[in-house]
Amino acid sequence: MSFNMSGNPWIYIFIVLFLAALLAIGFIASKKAKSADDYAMARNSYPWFTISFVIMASAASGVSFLGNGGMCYSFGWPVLWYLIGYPFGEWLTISLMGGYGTRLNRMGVRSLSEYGGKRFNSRAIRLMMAVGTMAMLFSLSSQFTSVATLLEIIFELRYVFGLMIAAALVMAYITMGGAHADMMANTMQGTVMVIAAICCMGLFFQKIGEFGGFTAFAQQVYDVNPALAPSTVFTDPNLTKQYANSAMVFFIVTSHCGYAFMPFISLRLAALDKLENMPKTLIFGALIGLICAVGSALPGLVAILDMPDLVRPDWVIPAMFIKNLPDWLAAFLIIGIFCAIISTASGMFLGMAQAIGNDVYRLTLAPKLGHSPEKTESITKIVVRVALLGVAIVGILMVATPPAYLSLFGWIGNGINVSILAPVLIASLLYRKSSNKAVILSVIINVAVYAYLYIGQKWTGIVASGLCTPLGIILVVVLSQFFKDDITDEYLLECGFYSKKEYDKRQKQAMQKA
Amino acid sequence: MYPTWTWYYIAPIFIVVHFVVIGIVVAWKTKSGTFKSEDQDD
Repeated sequence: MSFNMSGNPWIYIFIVLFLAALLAIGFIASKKAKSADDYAMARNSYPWFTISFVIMASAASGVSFLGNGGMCYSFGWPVLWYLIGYPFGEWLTISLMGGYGTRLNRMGVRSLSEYGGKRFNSRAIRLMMAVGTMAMLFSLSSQFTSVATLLEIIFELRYVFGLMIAAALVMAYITMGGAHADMMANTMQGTVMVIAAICCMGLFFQKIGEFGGFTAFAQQVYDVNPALAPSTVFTDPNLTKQYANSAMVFFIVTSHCGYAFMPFISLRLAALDKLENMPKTLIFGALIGLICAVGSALPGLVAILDMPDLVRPDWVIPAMFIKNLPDWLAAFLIIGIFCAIISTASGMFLGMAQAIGNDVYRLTLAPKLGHSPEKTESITKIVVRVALLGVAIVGILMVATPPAYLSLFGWIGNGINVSILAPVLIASLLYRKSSNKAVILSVIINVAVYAYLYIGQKWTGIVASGLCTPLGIILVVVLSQFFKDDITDEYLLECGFYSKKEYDKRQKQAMQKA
Repeated sequence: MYPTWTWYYIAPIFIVVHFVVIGIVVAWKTKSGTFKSEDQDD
């Protein structure tokens, strides 16, 4: 079956509309971003539903519609563990983080590395976290590859041109409007993704009806391969290849607890207009996060019977659209896939450019060079924009030859991020006594463990990260008992980590104990 | 015989767990004052 859509006029109409919308957003956002700080963070600027859409769209990459559908097609019903588990892990962690965005704003930080460095009063931690942020290059490159491969399939466009188009598209609107552009574009893209996911659910139920209902469908899948059927629950012993055993389910949830701390997700909490709106943000986010994760992949399950001879499982969702839906709807849903990819790539882009502009220039080089605050701000703006171009070029070069396994390639970066960033951030928020020495040691151990599992033992990135996230937190807590630091509550109040109320509460508790 | 304890039952249970657990955490955080801005505290 051909995936070529070049004869479908609707795809051109929707692509032109999509590009026009992104460029218009970039232009409007460029007027909104008044300072380097605003460009980086868009603090307290957007309503609750926007934040929900932005976080959902940033977290759900092209993998939602391509990789997850492919997994459903190849591994069958047990993949539902993954589809239910990952939004649960993400939104549970974001809920536990609570007022994290307020802390970022109160501390006036522009990157997670700056936050970590300030909270633990440690330049080494800032540097480690900046390195972790740069590891997102692997994930960003895999997003470029997704766009390029999609364009290759539906327009038979050369892969390299597709890479350039992907990078140029994201750069165009992010360079103009920074975090504001990311927020507005992700709101639009998140909305399209939810509509696309609901359409996928409709297609799934329609097909189930055609196969004679759930029981008849399940029986037919069971006849093809019992391992793919809904009855496969906690029975597969292969930890790293299947999604049907309880350890794997645990790791899916824990790896995505760490994933929620990726800079392109967690920094967006700082853009919420009022802290009182956070409960609505979280509940609505948990709803659309689940709809998008589960809905977008469901057609892969019915394709086991509907398209049994598909050569490339990752293309099962577009293939199902093209085979079963009217031209206009298939074209719209393909745009939904583009939205999923671009929305994740844009946040990664910005996060890495900030790591260079903010952490390397503003916080490290500018003080050494003796630049005044005004000069520092204006140069930071330029450095961030130049860094965006640099990130795009390196990102393209990294995948000039497409990686054999896209999701594994992307998880090199995600895993390093989850190993480095997540334990530090979770410990800093949940355990006051976590010390900077313990954090540094636990990060070093965690990165070594991740490398051993991922490279040495060939564990998948998700499983290795799923182990490293809780391990990192446990390490920080245990090592903090042996390695203390001299950070006081007064310092935490001064740097903005504590609000006055939190500080007073802690003082009161300390007095009561005494 | 096709097994009866299948995803038909487990999937809805986990979807309910998703909302109940996150709902409890959000309610707890709201009650503990985490989602109150500082100017409201005084």
